[in-house]
Amino acid sequence: MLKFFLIGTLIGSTFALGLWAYKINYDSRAADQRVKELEKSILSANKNFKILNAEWAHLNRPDRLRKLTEYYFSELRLTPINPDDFISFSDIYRGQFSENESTVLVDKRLTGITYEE
Amino acid sequence: MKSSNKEKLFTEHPRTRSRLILFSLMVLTGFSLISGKIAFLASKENKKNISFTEREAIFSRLNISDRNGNILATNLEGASAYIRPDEIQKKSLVAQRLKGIFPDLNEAVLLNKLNDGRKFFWLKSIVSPRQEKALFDLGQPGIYFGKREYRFYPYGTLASHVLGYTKVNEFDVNYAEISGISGVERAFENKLAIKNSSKVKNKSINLSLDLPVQAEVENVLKEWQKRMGAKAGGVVMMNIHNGEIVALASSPDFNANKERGVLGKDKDSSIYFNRVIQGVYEMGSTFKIFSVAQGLEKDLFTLDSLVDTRAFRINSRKIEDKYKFNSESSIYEIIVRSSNVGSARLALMVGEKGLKEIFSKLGLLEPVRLELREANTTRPILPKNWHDITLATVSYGYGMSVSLLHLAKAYAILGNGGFNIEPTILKKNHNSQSGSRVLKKTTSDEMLKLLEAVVTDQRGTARILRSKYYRIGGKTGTAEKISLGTRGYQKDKVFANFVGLFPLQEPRFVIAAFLDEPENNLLQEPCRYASCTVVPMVKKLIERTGPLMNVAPGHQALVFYRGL
Repeated sequence: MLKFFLIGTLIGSTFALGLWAYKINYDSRAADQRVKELEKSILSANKNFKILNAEWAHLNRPDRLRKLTEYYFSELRLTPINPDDFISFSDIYRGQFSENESTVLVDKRLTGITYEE
Repeated sequence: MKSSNKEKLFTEHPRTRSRLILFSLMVLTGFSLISGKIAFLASKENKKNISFTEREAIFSRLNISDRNGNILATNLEGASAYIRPDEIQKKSLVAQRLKGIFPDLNEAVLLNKLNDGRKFFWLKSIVSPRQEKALFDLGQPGIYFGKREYRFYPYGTLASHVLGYTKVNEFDVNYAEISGISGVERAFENKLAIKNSSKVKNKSINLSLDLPVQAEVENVLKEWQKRMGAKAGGVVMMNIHNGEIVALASSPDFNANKERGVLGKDKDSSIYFNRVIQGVYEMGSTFKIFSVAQGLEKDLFTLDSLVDTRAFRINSRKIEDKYKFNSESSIYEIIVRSSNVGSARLALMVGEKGLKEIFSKLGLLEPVRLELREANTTRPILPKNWHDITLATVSYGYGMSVSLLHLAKAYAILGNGGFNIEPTILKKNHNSQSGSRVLKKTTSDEMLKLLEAVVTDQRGTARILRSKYYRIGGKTGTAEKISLGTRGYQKDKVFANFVGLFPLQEPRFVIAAFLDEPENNLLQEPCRYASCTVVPMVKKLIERTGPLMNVAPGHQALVFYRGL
């Protein structure tokens, strides 16, 4: 009786182990496949990233931006940065400004006080 | 009896035992073979997975970016097209259609290639995405595409001389190896050409260049070159404390996306010639302050010492000035008004040994040790002998040729307190001097005073440079160019240059600029001196780029608001 029981358990466990090994094998293959796919998509994402970066740089060419600022000057009024655009701390607190809008903006941000004209 | 019974029961063949052992050995070998094969297969499959991604990225090349990470050069993926003629039936029709896609192809040559029995030939080494689609839409068998990486410079001509360019070294159906030919692409070939990209991901070489500053410098340089009718020009801007080159422009320049030629023998007209680094010129009066520096260093004189400034002769050669000077002038006046006679007298006081000593301290006798190969191979042209007449002419910049970069480096050492620096094109993480002291602090301070006087003095040659924003100091130089035919100097063709330091309350940058054969026709009479050609350009350069580099005007504590 015991003999049958032992043989039965052995056969059963062998079968179960085989099944388990099969499953692990199958899972690992699937995982491998997934890794491959992910690597592929990472690679293509990186490539797109690279292309987009290059395009962004290409679109930000200084000569192109220069032309655009000229084209949209009436709306944006962008001018090259000038040493006049520096102001001293003392100027801020004394409230001496040029008629430049952005100066007032800075003033609000730095001091929290709104000067009225 | 017993033994005979036993023999009957267990009759053992004499070879049974050995057969059993043999059999089990065979079984064992069989199993180990199978398990070995399994292990081999498993390991092989694993390797295949890794090589899949590695192969994709193996022929990549690092980006080159500026100090703030703006991409200056990158690799993009494209395609090459090749043809297997034996898979094509209607050859003349295909040739006609290909000609429609690539107008630059010669149809007859193409047809010949299709018909002469070869198995394979390259149609185009790189095709644009649009052409690739057109080829694909033909639906023609026998046309194949291969992977190609190519180098792309998003800003076109920007910093082209610094970046250099590449060529395709060796190629196959699926890859092309790119290698650098000049500039940074060549100098950092080993770093840029990565063999295992998985270890160095998303990294790039960070140059010391500052994109907006570089762009502005090139813009102003080209504008002034045109305005002054100069055939070439160059500007270099460098941090005087750590030697970082913030901007380096040489005009005319090239677009490495389109033009990849070779620097031929006719350097003077080549667009690939880096005039700032590779070009050596006689600089003229910008050399005058070197003998002054040596005199101050050795306590031979002070800036107030009086020197004889009457014209005199050395070996029957007359040394004289263009303007009238008193019979005796102070060293201050000699530099401010740029006297050749005074400068020659100073050089004779300093002597051969002294002049050589200061030149070697300032690095004017050897190539500049910049990372670029172009700089390492550019030797200054030194006089063959150092007779008195040579000392005199070299002191005001004739008879010895150096590059603009040499001059910038020399002035940087004079202005940074006397520390040796090595110019670099790579971004540094610190702002401090690493070089050893080569000049006294007092010498450097006196030099700065003297250079500022050239700008602030009413009679100074660079008085146009006086700016309401910045304290600038510098020295002008105008050298007549040697005539190739007659060995003499030509009065109407000059090499005008200027080297300056700013902001002087706390010197940070050196700017060196030149224009080759400029002529200012906007004044009442044409003027070729540096004071009316290069100096106004430098003023514009400093006032435009100063704010970009956070150089605040004046002396006060300032707040920078446009960037908020």
